[in-house]
Amino acid sequence: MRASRKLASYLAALLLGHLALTAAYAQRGRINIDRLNKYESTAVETVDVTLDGSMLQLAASFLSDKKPEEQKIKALIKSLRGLYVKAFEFDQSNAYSNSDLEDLRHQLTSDGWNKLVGVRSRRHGDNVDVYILMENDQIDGLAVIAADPTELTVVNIVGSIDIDKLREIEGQFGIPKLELIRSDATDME
Amino acid sequence: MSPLYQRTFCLLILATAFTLAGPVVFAGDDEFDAIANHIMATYGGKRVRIPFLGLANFAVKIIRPAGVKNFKLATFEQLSTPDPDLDNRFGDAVRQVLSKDWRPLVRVRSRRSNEHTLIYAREAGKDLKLMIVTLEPREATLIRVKLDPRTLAKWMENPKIMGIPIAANK
Repeated sequence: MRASRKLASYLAALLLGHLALTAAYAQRGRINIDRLNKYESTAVETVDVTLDGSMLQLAASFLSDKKPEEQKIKALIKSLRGLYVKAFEFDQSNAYSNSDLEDLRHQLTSDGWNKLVGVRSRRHGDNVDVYILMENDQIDGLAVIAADPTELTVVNIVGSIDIDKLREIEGQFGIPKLELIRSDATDME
Repeated sequence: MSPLYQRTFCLLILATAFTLAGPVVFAGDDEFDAIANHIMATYGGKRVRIPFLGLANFAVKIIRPAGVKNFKLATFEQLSTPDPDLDNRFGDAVRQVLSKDWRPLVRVRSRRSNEHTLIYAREAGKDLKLMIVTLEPREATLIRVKLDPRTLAKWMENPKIMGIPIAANK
């Protein structure tokens, strides 16, 4: 009886450990951008998109396998576990605090995140920072912070994505058109 | 079949249709009504009566066009200019009304044009429920729809209404 109880405890611990690990893995690559919610009341335009894994796969199911453009996007989002966007447009400069930007950047300096150099935005110039999360030599997360004096946009993509393919989903799922280009190339396309 | 019997039979079918369409309460109806009440309490105005909505819902339940299994719709007009503080808190008010099962998908707010768009989703077995709220300066629309995403996806591949294709070129 005591042996079976011990076995049950081990099994329960194992199960809990597995669940905890799964939860931790599921959150890897996601940054906390909720701190920016306070700007909803001051921004003139706000866009907030929250698509977790199941919703993304659902969105993928709406895309056609026959149309080449949709086929590309579908293939791209199949490997994603989450997509989160917050975009604010203000009617005056410096409406957001630099400490909030620093907080975001701080989150992106640890846990495998690296800032990608040599990427700029045709639309926002050098005011765009792109970060990638590496996992076994593969990109497992991506974050873009575009901070203009009157605009603040944060895009967080969780899952495997190629930076060169990001343009294919720009303008979709609330992701603004950032028009990222590598400075060592004339165009990403 | 005598004309009287025919007429009675038709009335019986209609009565059954309205009985089924009207009082059936779905999970999420309380939340739908709470949001509708919040709009009315905050912005005033009046709820627009849409003729044959119950019948349309009944037809949707039978035909299930594009995977839509049922829906609830309310439109409001002649809304008043809201108190800015209340308007700022509209999104939070909707969030508080909805249970945690409803997940926010999209929230768009334009203070420039005084518009809110909120889309929440909730899984219901194999189906998906969507709660969509759009609020404009003078009018608002609230929709709760339950749909089968697979059927909808299939329909979007080749959209037809009553057998008539509605896509231009595939």
